[in-house]
Amino acid sequence: MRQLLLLVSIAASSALGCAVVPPPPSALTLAPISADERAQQTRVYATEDRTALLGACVAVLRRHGFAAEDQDAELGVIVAAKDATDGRERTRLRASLAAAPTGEFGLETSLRLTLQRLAWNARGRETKREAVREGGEYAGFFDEVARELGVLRPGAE
Amino acid sequence: MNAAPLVASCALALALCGAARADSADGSRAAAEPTPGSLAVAHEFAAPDLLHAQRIAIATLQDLGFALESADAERGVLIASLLDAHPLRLTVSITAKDDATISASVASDYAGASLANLGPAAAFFSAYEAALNPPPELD
Repeated sequence: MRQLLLLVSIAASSALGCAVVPPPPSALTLAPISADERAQQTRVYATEDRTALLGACVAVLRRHGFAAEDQDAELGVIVAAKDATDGRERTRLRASLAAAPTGEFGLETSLRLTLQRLAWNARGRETKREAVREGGEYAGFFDEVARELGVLRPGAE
Repeated sequence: MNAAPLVASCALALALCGAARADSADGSRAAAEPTPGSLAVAHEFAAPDLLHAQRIAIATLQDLGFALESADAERGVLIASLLDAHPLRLTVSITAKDDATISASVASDYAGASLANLGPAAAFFSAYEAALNPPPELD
């Protein structure tokens, strides 16, 4: 009997230890971002050469210390990150890029960038997750890509 | 008294616990694979161009405030997590069912633990369907 109680106690402890805190309702309600935010994340380039555009993106990201995490040429996706350690906190700036044909005949390419800051404490627990919303970061990146590529849609700036 | 069933229950609880906490310390597992045992919800849509449908799915995720973590056109798998505040991640699969139909499935997890709540998947499908069938532009 004592052995049974001990085993029940171990099982209960395991279950409690595993209990996952349910997410708050606000985390499960998805809403579209604003048109302004979407515009900030997007730049249209007057080229249908997505390979060259993605190459220019990679060059700019590398120049800023980012390392590629994932890439899919067919979908025009690049995910890159830049890690840093600040005391006991580890931080990551993640850039996710997606290039897609746009324009009436698909002769232009739309490039959409999202920048995200993440941080973890010494125990590996996530302590920060936030979108970068400073417009200058996005505009600066798009301008550098345009210079790298030598192409920019007239009037897009 | 035979304690084998209880021991097996403990092992199962620990195994499930391990699955729910499979993330590495820096969350990098997210880039590779969906959460084990995730509940997926699937829908079919009329869409003759698979690559276009996958691109629309990427744009839909971005419009809902997600950042892409990985994309694989060949497998049709997109993984994205919320940009802000909550560690909510969606694993979206877009594959061809036949020449005119695609199958889309969504699995959600929160902080690495599979979500039974279908709200995020429903929100994605609603936005995705609207993006696949935009209203005609007015002249």
